[in-house]
Amino acid sequence: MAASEGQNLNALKEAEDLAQALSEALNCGGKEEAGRIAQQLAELNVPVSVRLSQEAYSQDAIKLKVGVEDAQSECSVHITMTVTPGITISDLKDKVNTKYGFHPSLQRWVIGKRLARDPETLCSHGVKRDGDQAFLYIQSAQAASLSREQHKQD
Amino acid sequence: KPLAPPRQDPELMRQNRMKEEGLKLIQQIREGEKKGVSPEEVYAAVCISRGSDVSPCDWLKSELPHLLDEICAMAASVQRDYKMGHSGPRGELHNPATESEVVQLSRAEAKKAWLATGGDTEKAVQHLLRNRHSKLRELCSLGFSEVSRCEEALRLSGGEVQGALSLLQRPLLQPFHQRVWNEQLEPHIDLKHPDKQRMCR
Amino acid sequence: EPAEQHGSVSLHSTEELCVELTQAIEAGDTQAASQLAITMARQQLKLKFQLAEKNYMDTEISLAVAVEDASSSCCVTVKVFPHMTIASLKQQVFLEYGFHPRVQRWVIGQCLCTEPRSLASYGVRRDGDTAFLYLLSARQARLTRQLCQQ
Repeated sequence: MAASEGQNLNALKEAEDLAQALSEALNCGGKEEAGRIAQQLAELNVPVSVRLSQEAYSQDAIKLKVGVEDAQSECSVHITMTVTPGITISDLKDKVNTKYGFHPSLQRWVIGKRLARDPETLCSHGVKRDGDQAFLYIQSAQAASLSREQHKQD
Repeated sequence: KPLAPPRQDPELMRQNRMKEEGLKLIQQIREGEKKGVSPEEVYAAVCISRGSDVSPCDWLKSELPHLLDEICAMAASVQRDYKMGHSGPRGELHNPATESEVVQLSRAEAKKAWLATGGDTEKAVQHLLRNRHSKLRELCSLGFSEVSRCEEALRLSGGEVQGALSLLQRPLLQPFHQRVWNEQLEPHIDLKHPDKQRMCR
Repeated sequence: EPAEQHGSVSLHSTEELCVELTQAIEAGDTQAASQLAITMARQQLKLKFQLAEKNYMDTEISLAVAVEDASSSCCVTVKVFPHMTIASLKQQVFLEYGFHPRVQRWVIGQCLCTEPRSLASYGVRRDGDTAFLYLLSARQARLTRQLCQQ
């Protein structure tokens, strides 16, 4: 057990170094190097997350209008959330979970005509200033588990 | 119905459009949920049938199965191409003996890939192959290195690793079944057994 | 004209590239990973790489299970969620391998597991963690074929 724990740590360290090197290669446009390191990283088969660095996004907080909906609601309930446009949908889900207690798996975010996906940012959906509107659709727990069941059956 | 202000502020128009478009999708998602269709399915259907006036739920029912078959077929042909060009990028896992067979991919897997890519057929194909590859590798890392057996197990389980795993492992446990129903006494074996830790009572 | 302005459209496709690279690396697709990295390097994007911490509570993991009975042992892998209870694990093993819950006794670390507790509470959290499944004989578990069929 101890030995495999040690191996894990080593792999982790190696992955961290590679990730660092890849960031640098990408940032300064070293194509061949980036390609090579990405390949090595892929061989390690570790969970990574690649994100644009915060500099790409405006750091100003905005007031996002959020229309909350579910299958039953006739008209949306409006709340306002203060966010920076660079926040990802998955962070947003966590935030709503902490503040209002809806589990992330029940939340669906709709911005404009798109259903937003977890790694995407608000900014990439065109959210940029006070009063911009997003919708939070709350799935019923039953529907969520039903469609999960269905996936399995299909 | 919203009274547009006399001077059309482009920012205001943008915000209004954002809101209207959002509400429309919400409405479709709501209808979907009532029919037991997940938001992701609704959205992928909306994206792909954009421009036509078929409702997303109808589209899913009538068109999706064909599309999934198509995705499977495309994936199979990509796979064939890999294998033709002798050292495909995934070459290392395909042992030469099985190269002639084309792997069967299931609709369930295709659907999962299609949803994960938000309804993009081409990316779905890539996703599908990638997932299949990593499932094979996972099975391999768990000690099942015979690719053709793994493929067969995955086919039978609809692409689920867990199901495939239980198919592959069941034969290993067969003797245990026999012993569970064995009528013989087996009282003091614990004492003889060298591994004293195993029953912690 | 779409609601987004130009900036956010290209931002969207850039983020898309990030997602794809993440997926390619996780899936070990070396060729795709390297091609994506080359594309991204060309654009000289300001990127941040992180090793994601997996939230193991919600992730399916591979539990190494040493199956034992009075006379021998054998190793298999079972896919489980750390938050699941021993009771549902017994049920799962019953469905997948046909051992009635009554003949199953689970041992993790130094503990003989009780049904209402979760795997996580016994310290199971990641791939490769080990548990022992001791199979009683039907007689000892007072299990009859008839009971089994119910």
